Amino acid sequence: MTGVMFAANRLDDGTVIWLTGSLCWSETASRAAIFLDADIDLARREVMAASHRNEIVAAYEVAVDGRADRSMRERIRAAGGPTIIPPQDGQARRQRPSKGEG
Amino acid sequence: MMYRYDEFDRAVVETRAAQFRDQVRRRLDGELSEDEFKPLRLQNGLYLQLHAYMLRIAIPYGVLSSDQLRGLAGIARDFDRGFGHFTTRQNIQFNWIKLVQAPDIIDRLATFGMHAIQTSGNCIRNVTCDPLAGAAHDEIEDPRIWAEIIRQWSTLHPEFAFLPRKFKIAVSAGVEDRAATGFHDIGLRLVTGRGGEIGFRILVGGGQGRTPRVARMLATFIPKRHILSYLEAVMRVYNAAGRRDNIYKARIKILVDDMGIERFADAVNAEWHHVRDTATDLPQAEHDRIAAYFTPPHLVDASPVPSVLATARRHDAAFARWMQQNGLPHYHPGYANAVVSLKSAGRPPGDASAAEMEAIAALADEHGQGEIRVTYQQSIIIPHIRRDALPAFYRAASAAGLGGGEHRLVGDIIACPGLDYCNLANARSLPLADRIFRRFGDPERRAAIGRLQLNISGCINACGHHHAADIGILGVDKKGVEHYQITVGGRAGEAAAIGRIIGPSFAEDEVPAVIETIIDTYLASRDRDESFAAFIARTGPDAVKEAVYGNSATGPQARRGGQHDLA
Repeated sequence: MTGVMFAANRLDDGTVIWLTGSLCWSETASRAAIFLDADIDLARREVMAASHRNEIVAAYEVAVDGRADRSMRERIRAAGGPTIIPPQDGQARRQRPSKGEG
Repeated sequence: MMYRYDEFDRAVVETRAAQFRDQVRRRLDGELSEDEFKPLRLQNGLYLQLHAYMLRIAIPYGVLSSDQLRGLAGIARDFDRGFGHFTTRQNIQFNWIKLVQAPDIIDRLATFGMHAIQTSGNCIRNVTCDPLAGAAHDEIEDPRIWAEIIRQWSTLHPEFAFLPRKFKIAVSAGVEDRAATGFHDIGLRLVTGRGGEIGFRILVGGGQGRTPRVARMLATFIPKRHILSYLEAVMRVYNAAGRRDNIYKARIKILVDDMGIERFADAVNAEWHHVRDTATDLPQAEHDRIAAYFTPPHLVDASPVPSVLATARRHDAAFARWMQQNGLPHYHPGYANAVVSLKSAGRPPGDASAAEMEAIAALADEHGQGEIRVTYQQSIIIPHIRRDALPAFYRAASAAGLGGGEHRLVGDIIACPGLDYCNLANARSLPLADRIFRRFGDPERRAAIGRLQLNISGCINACGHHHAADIGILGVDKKGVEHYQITVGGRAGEAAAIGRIIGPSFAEDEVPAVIETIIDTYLASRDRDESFAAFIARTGPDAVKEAVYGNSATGPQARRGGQHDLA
């Protein structure tokens, strides 16, 4: 079964966001919905609308087979930052205290 | 000491900042679509990357004042996550920028004489230069003056704002080429011609990326007074004949390939003949006006062999190692230029925190002359330091966590941001750089290996200069998994060369051991004092190939055997 996730960046600050099952945009990757069948068109319409509302940019579809894309690129985006956290990046260290230098 | 904005420069930057603020407002208000806005933001160095917007700020020919570096530290602290990334083109990038704040950043930059103009787009990019310019022991004359002249000529040049592709120029005046002129669209070397006249040797068509090329000789000697009209002729030929139908074939190196260097040179000479009487050639008075900004530093009569330096070297092995690598010769025997290495365990190559930038600015003020140079190897050089001040300089740098003596050793890794930040990358560069750094964690071992450039690119665009490295590592996507291809024998500088692939790629976990095998093979087989580059030049890649893969580098069986040997 092929599902589709939708990711984008928020226009005003560039933050990575995902489309949730309630057709809202979330900064939390785990809230991303995998849309199936007719819901895919519904989700695509929301992506178009959010673009037209100037809320999102660089939207794209992530094709998945019933679960989230686990490519390194998508994992890094979902983690919210690089896999090697610069020592001076206090914000990232607070967000991901268990992940250190890779 | 260094160029300062005049009224004209200030007006250009302030006008551009106001335009950009209005463009951002119109984008956020929906008056501009993303398709309309993208080229405008790129013309101001603003990219949209994997996690956020990234702003690339121009550091003209890699020269900063201490006040400018403090200004950049302020931007890191106020608008980013407290750090910045020095790039392989002597620029700085900030990785966590908000579009709504970008106009404020551009305004802030203008207050200390900086901007992001022409750090992206198909235009003439920031002119790069020997980081020791004006302080080197071996230069013919100060190339910063020419880099500044070319900067002024190329900034917002209406004819060259929409070239077929981006265009990079480097200028070097030393006997040693420290600006990698052989890997630029145009490489300019100041040379002495017959009769003692100084002029330019012009190289063209160099570059890395998916079609790496070492630049070819276009002209052996162009008098300095004609350099702008000659550059204009080259740009006109490229602008008219360069391909625009295929982004991968659009760089000048492809045009030079297609035409052949002789036909290309004929076309340039014909164009030059046509334009040289009408194009801008710099009046001597204007040259002198610009040159006047680059007054020599105030140097006192200092001893070339101060006792304090000899004592410190004798009693402090770490300082002696640092001095050996990071203390570079100056044209005044009582002075030196000091490398502040931005390479250490846990630090993405080229990253510096706001506090570190301020510490570097303080080092430059206290021990140098308030001037800072950014190298394309992603480190910092403080020029004009009295040799007797070097021990105190080293102590202060070490106290700030910047005392690594990595310059030109295996730990001095050049690495692009890779898949951790970049939208184009196939694989990560930064964690691999860290693993390799830690693999060679003993500074004495790094020193024993000697001069060795190891570069990592996260994709074929080669921002990490892997083609030009003794050992190059290229990240590739192999069925959705990061893999790394290894090359040896590349070189920037004199006798520039493109590295050769040694065989099939490796998974990330395998790479540090493969690098160690290559280096151990060199250490076991080198002639006395033979550098890694000389070893590869003598033996070719076969010796390391065999050590890595066994007798055959083609079959999976052989490769498994090779991996077994590495375990």
